[in-house]
Amino acid sequence: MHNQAMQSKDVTLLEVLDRVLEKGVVVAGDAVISVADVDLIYVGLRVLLSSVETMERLWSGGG
Amino acid sequence: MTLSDHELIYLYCVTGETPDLREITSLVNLYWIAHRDLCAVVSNVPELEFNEKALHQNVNDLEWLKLKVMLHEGVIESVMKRQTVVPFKFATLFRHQDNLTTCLEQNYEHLKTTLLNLKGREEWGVKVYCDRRKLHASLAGVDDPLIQLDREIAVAMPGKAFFLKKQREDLVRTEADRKVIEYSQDCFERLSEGSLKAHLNACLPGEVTSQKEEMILNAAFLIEALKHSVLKGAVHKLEADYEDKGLRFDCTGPWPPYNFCQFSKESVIHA
Repeated sequence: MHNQAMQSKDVTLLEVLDRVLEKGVVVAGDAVISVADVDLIYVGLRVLLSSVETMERLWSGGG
Repeated sequence: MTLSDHELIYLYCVTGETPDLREITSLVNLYWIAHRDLCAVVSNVPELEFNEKALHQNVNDLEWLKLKVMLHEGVIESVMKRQTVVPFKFATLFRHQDNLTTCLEQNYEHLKTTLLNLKGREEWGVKVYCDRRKLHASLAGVDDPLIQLDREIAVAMPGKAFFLKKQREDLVRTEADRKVIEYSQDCFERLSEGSLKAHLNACLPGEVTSQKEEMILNAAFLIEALKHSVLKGAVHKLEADYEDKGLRFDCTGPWPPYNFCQFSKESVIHA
């Protein structure tokens, strides 16, 4: 049942990026995807975590 | 698994039981780190590839990004076939195993509650796109201010009609903007009715979606597993109601419950 549902899912890169990146993605041109600044944070060199800079500026400014 | 100095620990997801990784170890050298009754599904990745500087460069390489992001998603989807998972975002990395177990300890209650809340449930996504031309066309003869203006245009002298038509273009845009908000709200409310939880995300801009239609709704829903037919039924009903207004629906799932694990950057950092 699960597999059947998965097959019906069109797993586009965009769909995945929309979920797994911390905030958002940008595409310049028709093929080049560039993720906005990846914000890497070291906390006392113990935890390293990446996320993508928010694209709210693009959404609010360009939308 | 030994972690060399040149490696970081990449966290995919956390489960509440020992995960069966036999089928998916061929993808990447996966293993799990247990802490109390939690298991973190991880792999070691080269520090040179995932350090801050390298990540900045690598995420701009579409082929690299695609490969790594699909791998991330693939690992979590494989694990969630058998277990409830708390999925983590792309490139959640730890320098040492101690850092990871500290993180699990500090967020233990939160992780346990999240796992319990997600048990037997699935995340589905619905994106709604709008064909503006079709929407604009659908307003004629239905929208009151527009009907009024069309009547004026029909009896106006050519000169005046010219200006009224310009005015009409503006009015159509304004009315359509209003409809887009009204329609997307209606869609979100109706889709939420059959869901346990609903989450609204920002719409992706056209440059990103490369669709000629404009995205007007980007929502995620948490539903009982195997009850996706209820959500799909709601989507089909909306499709029927909104087809002539230019709306198109894209329903996907089940996804790892990324939108229903409020396990953000902040909560990880505290480790």
